[in-house]
Amino acid sequence: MIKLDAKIPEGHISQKWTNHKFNMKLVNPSNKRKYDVIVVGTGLAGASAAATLAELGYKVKAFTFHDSPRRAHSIAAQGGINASKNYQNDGDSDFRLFYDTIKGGDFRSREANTYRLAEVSGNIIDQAVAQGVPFAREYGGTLANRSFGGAQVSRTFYARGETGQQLLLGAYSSLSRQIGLKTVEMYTHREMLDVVIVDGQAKGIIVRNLLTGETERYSAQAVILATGGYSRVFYLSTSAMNSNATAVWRAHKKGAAFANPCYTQIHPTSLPIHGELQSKRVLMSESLRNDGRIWVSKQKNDMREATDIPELERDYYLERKYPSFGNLSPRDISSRSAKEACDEGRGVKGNNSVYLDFSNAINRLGENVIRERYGNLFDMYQNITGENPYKIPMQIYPAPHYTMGGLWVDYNLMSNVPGLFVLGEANFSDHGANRLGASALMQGLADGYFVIPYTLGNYFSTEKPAKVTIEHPAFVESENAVKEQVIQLMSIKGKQTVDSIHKRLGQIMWDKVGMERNEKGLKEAISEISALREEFWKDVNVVGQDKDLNQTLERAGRVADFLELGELMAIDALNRNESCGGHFREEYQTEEGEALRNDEEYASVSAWDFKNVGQWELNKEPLAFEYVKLATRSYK
Amino acid sequence: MENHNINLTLNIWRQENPSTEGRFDEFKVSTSPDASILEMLDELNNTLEAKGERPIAFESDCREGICGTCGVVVNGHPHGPLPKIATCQLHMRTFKNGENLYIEPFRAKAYNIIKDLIVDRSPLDKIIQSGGFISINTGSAPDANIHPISKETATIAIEAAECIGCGACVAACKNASAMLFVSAKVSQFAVLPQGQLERYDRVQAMVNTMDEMGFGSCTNTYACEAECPKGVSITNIARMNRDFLNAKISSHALHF
Amino acid sequence: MSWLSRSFKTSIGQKLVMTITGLLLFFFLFVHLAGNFTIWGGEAFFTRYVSTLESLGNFTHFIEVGLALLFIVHIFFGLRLALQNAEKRPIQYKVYESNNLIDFSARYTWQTGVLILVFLVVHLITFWYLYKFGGEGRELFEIVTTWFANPLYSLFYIIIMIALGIHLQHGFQSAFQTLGWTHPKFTPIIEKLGTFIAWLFGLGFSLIPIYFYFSAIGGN
Repeated sequence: MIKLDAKIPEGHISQKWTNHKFNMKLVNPSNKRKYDVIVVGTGLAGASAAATLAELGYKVKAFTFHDSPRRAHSIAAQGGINASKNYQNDGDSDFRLFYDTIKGGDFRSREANTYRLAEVSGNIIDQAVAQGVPFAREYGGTLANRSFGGAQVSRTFYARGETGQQLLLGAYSSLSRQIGLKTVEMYTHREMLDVVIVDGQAKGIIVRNLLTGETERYSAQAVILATGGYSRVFYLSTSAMNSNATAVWRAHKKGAAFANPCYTQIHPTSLPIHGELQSKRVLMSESLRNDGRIWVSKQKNDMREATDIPELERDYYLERKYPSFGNLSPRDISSRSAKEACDEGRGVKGNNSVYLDFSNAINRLGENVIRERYGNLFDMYQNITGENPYKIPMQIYPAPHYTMGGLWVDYNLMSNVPGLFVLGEANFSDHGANRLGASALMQGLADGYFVIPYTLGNYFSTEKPAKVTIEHPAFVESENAVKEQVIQLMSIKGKQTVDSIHKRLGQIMWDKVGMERNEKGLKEAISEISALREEFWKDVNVVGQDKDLNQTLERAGRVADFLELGELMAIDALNRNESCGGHFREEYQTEEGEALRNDEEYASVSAWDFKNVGQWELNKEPLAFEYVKLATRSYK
Repeated sequence: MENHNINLTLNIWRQENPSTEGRFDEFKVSTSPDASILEMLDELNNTLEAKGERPIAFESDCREGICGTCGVVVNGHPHGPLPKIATCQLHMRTFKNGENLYIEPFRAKAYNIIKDLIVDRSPLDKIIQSGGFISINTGSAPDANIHPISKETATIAIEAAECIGCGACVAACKNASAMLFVSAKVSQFAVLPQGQLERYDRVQAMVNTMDEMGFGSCTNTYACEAECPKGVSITNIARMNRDFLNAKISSHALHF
Repeated sequence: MSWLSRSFKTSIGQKLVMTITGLLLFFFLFVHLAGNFTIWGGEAFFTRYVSTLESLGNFTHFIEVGLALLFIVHIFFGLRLALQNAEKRPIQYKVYESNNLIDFSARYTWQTGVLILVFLVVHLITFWYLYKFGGEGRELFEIVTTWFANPLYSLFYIIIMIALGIHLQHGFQSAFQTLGWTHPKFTPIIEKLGTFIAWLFGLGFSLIPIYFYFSAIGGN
């Protein structure tokens, strides 16, 4: 068993972070430069952490597998970032943001972490604006807000439909400034393939230089992973092509517990799959659901064109099932309903997609108003599908999006491996079983700008971690293991391409560990994934050379890890005998088909300890809800 | 979304590494018109891999036109012949059955070819590192509403800030100039109140680095604007020119 | 003063030199064109204009030296920029279409510039040198009419004046861009003005050879 001490500070929830900041030990400014820190990943969490730690005086080495830190997938976030500024005078507060996040997460997140997230949210906006992030403005020049799902206040700050891009470029500019000042050494084209642990503490990493294929060792007194989510395990997801779980997975195999792997968010408004060649899913902003009506035919396998299906033969299923929230029902519910309709054969022409229809809104408001509101999204739709959404209803279908699960961390964002910190989507801590819109950007930046700078110092001053050189036997051993795996992958020379196996894994995950799960399917998934994994190691073909830029090899390593992670996701889903947020077990639903939680047995974090490939040990961290009362979510 | 494959002849630039000579390889493909050009290349690569051959190296990541990772020249246009899209948003229905496609890397002295269609765009990062920021340490920011910013200013700022750093402007320019990229960042900060303190140092530092990195100079042809996937405007270049001149006249900094 | 020399070596610094010399040369051309138009007043009027210029003495020499300097700097920086830019893409594209999206005049700025340079030399030799050092008693009016009676010379002159128009079409609005004098309200006006100036200069300068050529063959 591993010890899961969340290290939640004493005191009232609103005082915990303040007390903790005071109680934590500090590192003298002149001593900071004696500490090396490795930051893996340069998205919102990684870039903000690397920049801030360098500003404080630590010696930072930052790593990304991209050609530039600005490419991280945080850049693709569209909608916005929440903050409890209460600029709108509409009753927002830290507590309300905290409350909404806990409720939205279906009571499966840690109260103390979530409150801190709300508490620092306002500072993020201040920081971003000071960096020159061009948020939307009111005519009077003050910051504008919009509302997002799961909240009754307007607290979402945004920059057109490119909030993630603007915030990432803000963090990237801060990081670039430190690179220019030579306080951050930036290593691009480096993929982390192992964490080096010496005497139980994280002391460095092994990376593969993606340009030369050489493995390299880097040491530091602490390692920070900010490497994002793992929804590419589904192959088709809204994540970027290169998003992967390798860094967290290799850390997991070195002893870091993986928490709640089964919590995945399926986003309802993604473009449907166009065919075999599809490489990823493209998201359309949820805001479309404000004016679009979602429907399918009442008949199965209705092959008529949308415009030929008369009003009476259409089923506006969200409006029918959830009259008070209608087309704006939460993500998990909307996604599941779409799947249900398609599974019944009522999808568009019997396929997997449903209509998102603007004809009512266009008739009511005129095409110009709709163009003003959603013009760029309509253009994007037309560009991708070749169809004119002003004339023909859009088609949408849910897609894997965000992964709430991740490496287990305590209140200080440190994993159970001392010196190994995990930030942003890569950790599990703040969103419970379902993340609310506009909260991912908030969490990544909160972790990087305002949490890790304090808690890392505390680790250094209390643990006084020793410096280890890269000649240490642990580094040699780690590097050899990484090299061996590369050689092994190269030497299989089988018949199947990496992508073809990844696609098959994705299909299993989508069918059986996707939006709806059941015991039978999960058990099948577990055996199918482990069989596929065996097949991969016998029959994959990785062409090219290892000491070279080799994208096939890069993908092969990532798929190898997905083939292990996928199994753990299924095991976790099978183990969690309840439905909550993004985890919906068919066996556990109310009569109306809503998620049925089991707070008696599962108000806890499932943290899995890696024993061997295909073997894990479950550890549970109980979750206490002292400030928000456990209740059933209802959107009817 | 009908499925009638189209047949194309692809001439793709292949180059083993920065120091070897490159060449065009010809491939015949049949592909779905609904696929993006990168998905078409994915499929081609899978076919090559299945035959044990080396796939074509090309970069991409988000595949929704925002990360700036992808970028090749298709039939003489960076990001292909359609305006205001990145390569990943170029769909095969753009092309006619039987068409001949030339797919080349972004070419510029400042961009070394790493392999096939992948080029080294790190000089763009170096320019940002030399001044493309506002020097504000975390934690010292005043309240976000302290500077009212008019909608007009906010619009100029975000339209400049939308640059995705793909480097297509350099690839399009006959002089391989990076002025659109640099001016977009200079402009974003030049119009915002937060950016005023370092305004003149910033423009001079960034222009100096741009020159050092081996980019050409701007001869105001505006091919960059025409090919920019985000439609970043050349008025940003004018603004940068103006700031540069003003900096030279009024800034006290002698080291530039 | 090293900041000054450094500044003139930057890409924008060099462009500013091009712009400022270019704008000054534009004013010269404007005056030149106005002067040329005195020829429509007849031989006597034209000759009086020429002799008025002569009578200014040292002032004319001062202007001539200044003009020469402007031309030299403009040409030197222009050629240097063109050469520098030419090496910024060592491997050319197999297919290069971006350049076809841009304005014709912008595509060929340095090439039209070189044509004008060639003309400048010919022009100085055939008019200025011949007038000043070509022997006794030849009036400029006579030199002009003699040369323009030659169809090849007139054709050459006209082609160059078209090139000049193209050069200015780009150069005029380009100067405003380089100085950063752009504005959503005024830039469109400047662009139109640039086109007008291109036509004005191209046609205005061409009218003289056309008129004198046809006068010559017409026997007047």
